[in-house]
Amino acid sequence: MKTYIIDDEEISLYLTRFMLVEENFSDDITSFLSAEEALEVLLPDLATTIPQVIFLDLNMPGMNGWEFLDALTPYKEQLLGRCQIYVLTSSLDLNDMAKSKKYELICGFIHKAIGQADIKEILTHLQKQT
Amino acid sequence: MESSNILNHVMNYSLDMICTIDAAGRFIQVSASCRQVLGYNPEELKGCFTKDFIHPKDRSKTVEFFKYVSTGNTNTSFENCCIKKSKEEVSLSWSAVWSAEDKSFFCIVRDATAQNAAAKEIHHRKELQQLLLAHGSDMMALLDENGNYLYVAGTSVKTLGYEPDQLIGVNALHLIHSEDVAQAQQALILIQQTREPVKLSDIRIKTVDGQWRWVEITVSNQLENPAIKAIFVSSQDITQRKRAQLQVTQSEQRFRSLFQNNPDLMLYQDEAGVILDANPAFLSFIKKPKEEVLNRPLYDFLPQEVVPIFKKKLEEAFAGSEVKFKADVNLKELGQKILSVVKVPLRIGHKVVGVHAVIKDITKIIQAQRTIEKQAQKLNAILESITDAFYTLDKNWNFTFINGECERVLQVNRQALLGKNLWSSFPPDITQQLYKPYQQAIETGETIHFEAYLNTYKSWFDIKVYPSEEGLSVYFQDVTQQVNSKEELEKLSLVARKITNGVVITDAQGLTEWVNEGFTHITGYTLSDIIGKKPGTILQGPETDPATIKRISNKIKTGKPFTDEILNYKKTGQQFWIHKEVTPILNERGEVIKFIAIQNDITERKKVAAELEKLSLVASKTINGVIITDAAGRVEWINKGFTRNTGYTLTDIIGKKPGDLLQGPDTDMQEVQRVREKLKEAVPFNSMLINYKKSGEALWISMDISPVFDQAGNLTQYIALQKDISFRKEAEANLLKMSKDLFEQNRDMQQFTYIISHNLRSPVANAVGLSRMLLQLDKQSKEFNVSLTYLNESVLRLDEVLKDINLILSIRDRKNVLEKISIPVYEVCQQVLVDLAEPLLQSNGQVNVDIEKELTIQANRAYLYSIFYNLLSNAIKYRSEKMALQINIKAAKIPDGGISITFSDNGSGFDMKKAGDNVFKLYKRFHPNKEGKGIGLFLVKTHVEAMNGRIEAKSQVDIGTSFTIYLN
Repeated sequence: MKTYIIDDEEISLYLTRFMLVEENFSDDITSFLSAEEALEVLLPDLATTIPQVIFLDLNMPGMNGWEFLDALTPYKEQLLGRCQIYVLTSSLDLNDMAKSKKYELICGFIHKAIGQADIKEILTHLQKQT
Repeated sequence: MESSNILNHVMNYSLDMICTIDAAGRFIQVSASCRQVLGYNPEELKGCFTKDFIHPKDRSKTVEFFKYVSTGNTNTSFENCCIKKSKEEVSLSWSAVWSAEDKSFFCIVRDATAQNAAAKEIHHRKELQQLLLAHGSDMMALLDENGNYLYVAGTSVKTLGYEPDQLIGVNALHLIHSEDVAQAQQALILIQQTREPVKLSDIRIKTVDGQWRWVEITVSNQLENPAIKAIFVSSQDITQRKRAQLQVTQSEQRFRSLFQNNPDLMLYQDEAGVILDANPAFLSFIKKPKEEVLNRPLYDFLPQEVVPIFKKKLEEAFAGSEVKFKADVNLKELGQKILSVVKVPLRIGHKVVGVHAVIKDITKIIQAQRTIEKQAQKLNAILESITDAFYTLDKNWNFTFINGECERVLQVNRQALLGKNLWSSFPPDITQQLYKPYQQAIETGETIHFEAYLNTYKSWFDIKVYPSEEGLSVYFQDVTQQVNSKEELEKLSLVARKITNGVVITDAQGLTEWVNEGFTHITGYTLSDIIGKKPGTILQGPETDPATIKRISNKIKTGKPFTDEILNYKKTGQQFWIHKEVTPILNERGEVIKFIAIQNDITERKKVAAELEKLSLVASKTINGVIITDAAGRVEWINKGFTRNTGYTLTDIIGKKPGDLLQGPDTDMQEVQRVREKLKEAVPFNSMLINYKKSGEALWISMDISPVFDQAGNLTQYIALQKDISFRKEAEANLLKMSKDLFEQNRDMQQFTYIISHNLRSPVANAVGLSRMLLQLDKQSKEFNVSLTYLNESVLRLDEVLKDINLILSIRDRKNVLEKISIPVYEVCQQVLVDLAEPLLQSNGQVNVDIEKELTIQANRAYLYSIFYNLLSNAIKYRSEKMALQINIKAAKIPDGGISITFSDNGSGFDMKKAGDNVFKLYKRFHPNKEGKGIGLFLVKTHVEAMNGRIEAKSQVDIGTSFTIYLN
């Protein structure tokens, strides 16, 4: 399954990728250091490029996670059901959790560092979807 | 022949004229004595008609005589008047006989003059005798020896009223008065004895109607006289004489009595002034007995100085004139006397035989006179001074007195009018009006009082008429003004009666004369309750202010119009306030005659005023400003608080709108507009505005504005309460600032905590993940090393964040106790340039420093250093790829006392819109690919704010960035 990881920290990207691989989550994992980069790839042709899973960090310089989601909102029809976006953040802020619930596009909220349990849960959820 | 000779002789020598006259009347023969008788010669008469010599008046008589004789009668005497040759008239006596044979008259004519004279004489005597008989002796009577009347003759009829026959047989004594009978009887006896006639005088005889008459009787005994044989009584009525005598006696007696009893001093003096007689009054006056006075000259009793005048006057009296004079005589013991002396000459025939002097002591009289004069003068003066015009009339309506005022008012001359008749002195329009009342006064004897309008004078007069014994006294006054006033008053009274205000009319003393219905309505007192009393005594009560009572009393005395307010009590006892307007009414002399007071019940107003007073007390004392404006918003009054707050006094602001003076440049005009609209709505509201004091200083004012209405609901005033809320505003502003600061700080804090939590969490999360990974990884694998390295990085990063936290917190903590000293800006800047020299060099950066070397600020050196360092390093880091880095640093003083430092570069800039207010936020980076934690600007801001400054940033992408720092 096509997976994107969007995070401005190298270490974080490395960690997340390792875990996903370790759990055989996906073999098609693309990392982006910035949301802008990811958007550039996703859009113009979302239908083709659309991944099944996006792991999105919230706190990024430039375009942050929320802004990325806002940018995708116009395409939510295309995304909903096809693309599961999970917020992956180190933030413990409750406000962020609350905010994420308002975004339709967000399927889940995961605290860094992502663990086995988290991944297994996602997999289960994804299997249900299909 | 002898007979004819004798006859001739007789004819020739007779003294009488003998003649013959023929039947025709002609003389035939005339004797020679015709010469004596008629003055003609015989020859002259012969053949002439007799009648030619007869006086015409006797001619017919003579013709008759001859006719008579011719009939044969013998008439020996006939008299007629003839005319002699000398033209004299002569009386002739004719004897004639007709001789038929001779056919002629035979006449003897005699000058009858003597005869006539004798006859006349006899006749005269006879008459005389008759007269004597008739008048001289009123009654001649013959009495018998017993006294009875035998015969009465004379004018007894006249005098006594008896017919002679009445008395015959009556005893004469019966007619005599009883008192005189004795005398008569005696006389009768006497004559019988003596034969001498006896005269009785003063006998009264009774007349037929019982009156008495005085007679003088002569009784003569003629009993022996054969011719008479009676007692001859001749009586003469002497009543007149007697009466005259009696009168004289009486008058003598009267005179005597007068002389003796006269209270005046009477003297009889001779030419020498010797006193021949003096009356008792004189004697008692000079206190001397008669003997000492008689035959002494009067001058002996007079002081020397008056003797000459007495003498002179005596002379004048003796000259025949009655003299009167007054003498001031000092009679030693008797004192100073004023004597009035009248000297009357006593004339007997043509000679003055003596002088009667009548002397009156008129001292007292003179004094009395003088007193009377004075009194009269006084009276006159009084009459003159009475302000009324005054005149008196006698019973015939003539003026007897006119005073000066009357003269003036009626415009007449007093002298001209005195004694003239009232009705004829004035025109009808006046007299018509006066007649009836005057008449009424006279008839009823009562005083009449009336008013009349006299057209002549175009004035009203008030006239009082007093009848008296002498006539009428009339007092009158010109009351035109009063009448006019009265008319005015009547008009006013009509108004007064009807108006709802209370009207009181008092006399000049303040005693009530009249009140109107309005007064009764207001006070409950009727006119009868209050008439004749002073209104104050009825209306004032326990709580009436005595000072006000006194003040009003004083104002009344000035006689000028005034107003005042006083607390009164209604009849029910209820209190109420009245507003009085008092107007004095003056007469033409400017004296007060009445007062009119118009009263308004102002209880309500007073209450309101009392309220207002209280409020004003509050208002004046309160430290807040109070403005009272009229309905148009113009200031009527301000309190001290206002002046204290704004510096404007009442004089500055009265009549103006407050806003005009108080608003200024910073005043919010919208709020002003809102205030205006609210004022129009006339509702209470609040407004907060910036006002300016007189000094120009601005202050915040909170105004509570309340409209004030009168009883009718009309807006009359606004009251504005002003509070100086500058302090509050400042405090508010401070609070606002503080809260803003606090908010910012809080926000910052929140952000800070957020960021910290995130920035801390992030490396920790990584560290957790990595360490977990490491546990699972083969120690030999490549991943193991990588992970370990990453772990190390993460932990280090964590440490750094903790250090940053520490730094930032420490800046914050020290904010209030920061040491500030005077730091030369240029020096610090240079230091930074030195410290960053290498990176600058590497980046080919050029720095322009525009800082005055003397410029210093109160700041913390370290902070300042940090600011410069961070900004400079940022500028280096985020320099543009495309052009050489240029940095400009400028510091300058700014007007309010601080400095501004501007740090600008031509670097890559950043999107300000995107950055928003995140520019100075912690860990916010806008350039993803650049290194940097994102705390540089945060630190700079923190440092700046720690020094109570502020920082602004401007940037444009690819053009450059500029930071401006303001420090105090």
